[in-house]
Amino acid sequence: MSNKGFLAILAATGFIALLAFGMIAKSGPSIAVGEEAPDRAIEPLGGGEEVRLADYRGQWVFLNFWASWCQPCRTEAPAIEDFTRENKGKVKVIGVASRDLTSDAQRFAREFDLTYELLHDGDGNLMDDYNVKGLPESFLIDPEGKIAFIYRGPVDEKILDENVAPLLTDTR
Amino acid sequence: MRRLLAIVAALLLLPASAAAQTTVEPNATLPDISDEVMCPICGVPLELSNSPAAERERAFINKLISQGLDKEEIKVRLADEYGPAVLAVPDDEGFNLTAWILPVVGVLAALVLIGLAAGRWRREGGGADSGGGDAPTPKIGFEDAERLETDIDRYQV
Repeated sequence: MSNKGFLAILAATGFIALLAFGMIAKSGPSIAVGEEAPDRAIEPLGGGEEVRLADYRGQWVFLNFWASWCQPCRTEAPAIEDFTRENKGKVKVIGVASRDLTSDAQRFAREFDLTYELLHDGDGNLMDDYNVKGLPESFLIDPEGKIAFIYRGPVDEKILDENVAPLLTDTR
Repeated sequence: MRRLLAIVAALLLLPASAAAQTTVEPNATLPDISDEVMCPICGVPLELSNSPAAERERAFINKLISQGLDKEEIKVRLADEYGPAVLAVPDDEGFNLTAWILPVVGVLAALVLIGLAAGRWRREGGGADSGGGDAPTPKIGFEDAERLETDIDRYQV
């Protein structure tokens, strides 16, 4: 094979490898039930000492990604608040305001009178860790730190009662 | 009487002048900033996005402009809210450094390739004038010429 041919193949291979790398990098991590829940230090909404999801090992965690500019998040917020109150002591509910302004997220929390813990993922890094493609999305994490349930889209009372609440009795 | 009128006029103008004093002179404009920052959710510059998240970001920028912040101060505040990725420039450290280096390397490589190609072209006499303006006539053998004639006759071209 001539030098020119070899260089052309080398260039084409490099180009394809670059495209493949770009696609893999864009596709994000795979997240599935039974896998270890990603962990990251993250600030509470409004500031304060950073917390890690791993700090909640030993208890069930319902993690909900939302933003104030997301209309379906407004629809589901009352259901999550009700779920929090009804399952107090059984599950730690955490709302993660993602790629949202602090002031907007705080206004949202006041509007819906949210009592569950709220974190601020302004840069969306935690959202990316969980491969969240659209808001809202929710994840139930078992006491061992494994993902037990994933719901992509707005949850409602029925979904929470039929899919999430029954799992909370399972102490693993 | 004239003094009284002057006092009344001064009292009437006082709120307007106070309001004028509290109005902050803008040190930046939205168009100037929105092409240098990203929409937090859509992965495109803010100026190209009309998503709800982008609208909120614009409102935030306008609020900061009305407070008299300049472009750099606003960018810092945006990075505080959305992280450094909101700035439409890559980091100058780690893997992101390649985004700065690669264009320079690319331009240099292109210049080197053009130089090499030009040198080879010159060595091969690519620039020499052939003397005539007409394209050189391709030479064909006797058998080919005869076959061409036969084909022309056959097809009555």
